[in-house]
Amino acid sequence: MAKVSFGNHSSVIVPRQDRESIRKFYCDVLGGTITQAQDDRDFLRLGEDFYIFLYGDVRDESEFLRTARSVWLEIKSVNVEETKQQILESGLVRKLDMPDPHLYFQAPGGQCWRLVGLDEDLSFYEGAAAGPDVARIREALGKEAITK
Amino acid sequence: MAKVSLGNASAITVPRQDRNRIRRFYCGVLGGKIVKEDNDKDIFRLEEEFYILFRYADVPDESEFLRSPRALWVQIKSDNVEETTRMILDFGARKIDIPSGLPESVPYLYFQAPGGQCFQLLPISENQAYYKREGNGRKVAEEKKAEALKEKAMGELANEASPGEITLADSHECAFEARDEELSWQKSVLETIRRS
Repeated sequence: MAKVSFGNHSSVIVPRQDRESIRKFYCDVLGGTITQAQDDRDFLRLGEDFYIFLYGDVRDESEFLRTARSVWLEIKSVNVEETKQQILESGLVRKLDMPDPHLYFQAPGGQCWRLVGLDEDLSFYEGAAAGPDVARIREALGKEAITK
Repeated sequence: MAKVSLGNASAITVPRQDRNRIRRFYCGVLGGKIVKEDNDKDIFRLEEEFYILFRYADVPDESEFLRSPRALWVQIKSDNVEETTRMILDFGARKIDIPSGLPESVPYLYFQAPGGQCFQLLPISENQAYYKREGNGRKVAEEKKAEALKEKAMGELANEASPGEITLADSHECAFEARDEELSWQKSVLETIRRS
């Protein structure tokens, strides 16, 4: 069987009016760089990964993206506390109250993230021990939907 | 500023009835392994230590929305794109017909996997200058042409799922939904107060 792995490029279309806050958040707060900017698109590099934002006259789908029905991702920091503080102080994100010690948040554009440490033991999420409690997470997601 | 990078874990909630197909696809076709399972979840590990957690729940099928580029599309790479493409399509995954924005010589496949996630399959050896702005001269012109075709197709897909203009009917619907949610919230607060 061929060897298949995840790549390091993702893309999403977001409302045009979110462009400024997306740039502020991913560049000023997270330290990413825009490697290419075009009328309708930004190529954003974060570490070795690329996140491509396409801007269009589309609706805000933040509410749906917050339901965990679309994929949530993870970012890693060498200094979780500092990054957490910067993220929350930026005023650009929505903190998500999840039953987990890590910071979960929704970034401008709608993508939801979990913040973890670069050298942290994440085996809990990789099949070790019981893993995440789905019932409690579902309950928390339900609350997020109610308190939108 | 602290150094920040993307992690290697992801999670998504999907309809419970998709579980069997998800397992067959991520293990049988993509070669992943289930490292954790219980009644409500599976954690898959793919090559390069990438983890994806599927939460199974009694939720509606959102494949149509996920197929619009309004939800994040991610990339997978194979050392044999032709073989992997054949396996993906033989499995019955839905092919998405849009141009890659890459040179014609680069094999690729856009598809929607069971559970709804959309992927772009590319060769492991694909040169990533396209993303890093390293191209030059004639190549850049060719790339721009290819990109324009891709963007047009992506824009059309997004607009199919999310029209740019909100109609009057839509705005009324939004108002009703907001009112219903407000009433629901008020009821829950009253209920909490009554219980306490």
